[in-house]
Amino acid sequence: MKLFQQLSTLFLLIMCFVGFDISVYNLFTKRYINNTSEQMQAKSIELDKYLPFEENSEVIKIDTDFRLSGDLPVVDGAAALYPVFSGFVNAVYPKDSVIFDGENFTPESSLQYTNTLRAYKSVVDGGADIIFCAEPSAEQLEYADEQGVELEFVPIGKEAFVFIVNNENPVDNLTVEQIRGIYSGKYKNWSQVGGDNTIIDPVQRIEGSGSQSVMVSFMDGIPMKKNLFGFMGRAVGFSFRYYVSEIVDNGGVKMLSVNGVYLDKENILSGNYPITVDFYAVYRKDNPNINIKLLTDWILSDDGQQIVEQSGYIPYY
Amino acid sequence: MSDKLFRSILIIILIIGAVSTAVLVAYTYYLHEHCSIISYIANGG
Repeated sequence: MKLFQQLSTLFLLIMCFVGFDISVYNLFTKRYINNTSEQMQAKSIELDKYLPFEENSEVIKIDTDFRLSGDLPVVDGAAALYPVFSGFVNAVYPKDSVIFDGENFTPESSLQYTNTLRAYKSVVDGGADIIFCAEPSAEQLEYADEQGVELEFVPIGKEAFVFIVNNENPVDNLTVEQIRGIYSGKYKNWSQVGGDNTIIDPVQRIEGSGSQSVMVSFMDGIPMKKNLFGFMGRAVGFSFRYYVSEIVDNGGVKMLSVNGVYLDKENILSGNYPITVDFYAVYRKDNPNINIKLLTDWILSDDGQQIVEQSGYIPYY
Repeated sequence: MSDKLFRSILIIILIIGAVSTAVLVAYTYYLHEHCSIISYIANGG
């Protein structure tokens, strides 16, 4: 009898640990496993997929008479816009101006990729001459102010800002009011916005990232709240259309229509899709490099805008 | 089973259980810091 009690105690103890660990794994761990490639995890984008001057690269290649020479502006920018600015470099920069070591661009390279978070700092500090990003966060503007730097913002294209949910979520559409309500904490359950009876997990990105800055603008001054128990429900997130559909292309998520408008290029071009944002070429107003103006003028020309459009974005004109 | 043996096994199970839970929690925190929104949602979030 004593042996039975001892064995039962040991068995129960083991089962407690196993049960607890399985619960932690199912509730938390498995949700955070990145299901993209190792390079995607490290860089948010596969740099070599859109590398300029490479035969097998997917970067957009166009014929143009314009070429940059002399003091080449160092370009940098957002992950979602990397295929675009890599296309600019491919079109007008000399081939030997880009040096890629297999993982990243070397410091001597005229093409850099540090993502929005670091690119804004880099252009203010002088590491990059021109960056391609969505609008800056309040902190990024404040940093420029503190350094006594004035930035010039040249809009060069448009993009749809999209909301994504898991493929199995029955919700396919949200209104702007519902989205703001979800992120402000007014709606906490999917059943309040046409879904099933599940908690809403409104996820956000880190402060200073391009999409987070756009989301803050979209909320129009309404503070965003996180749902403490969100991990028990279904999430909604946000990003840029091209980044979700072409760069990451993760089959586990779907983009929602907004105000009943399906997200396709026609609806974005016509302005029917309600949330489009400009993206910019950004440079220091006091940067003396004359090639910056030449480059931005060329980007706004038919040739430059052709790269914007063929890369999957909406041209500015 | 002697009491001494029982206590030894009990302590070993407690240590293994605590260590495995701690490793799992640390691993989960690491993943949380590196996971993208898209992966999180695709994973069922």
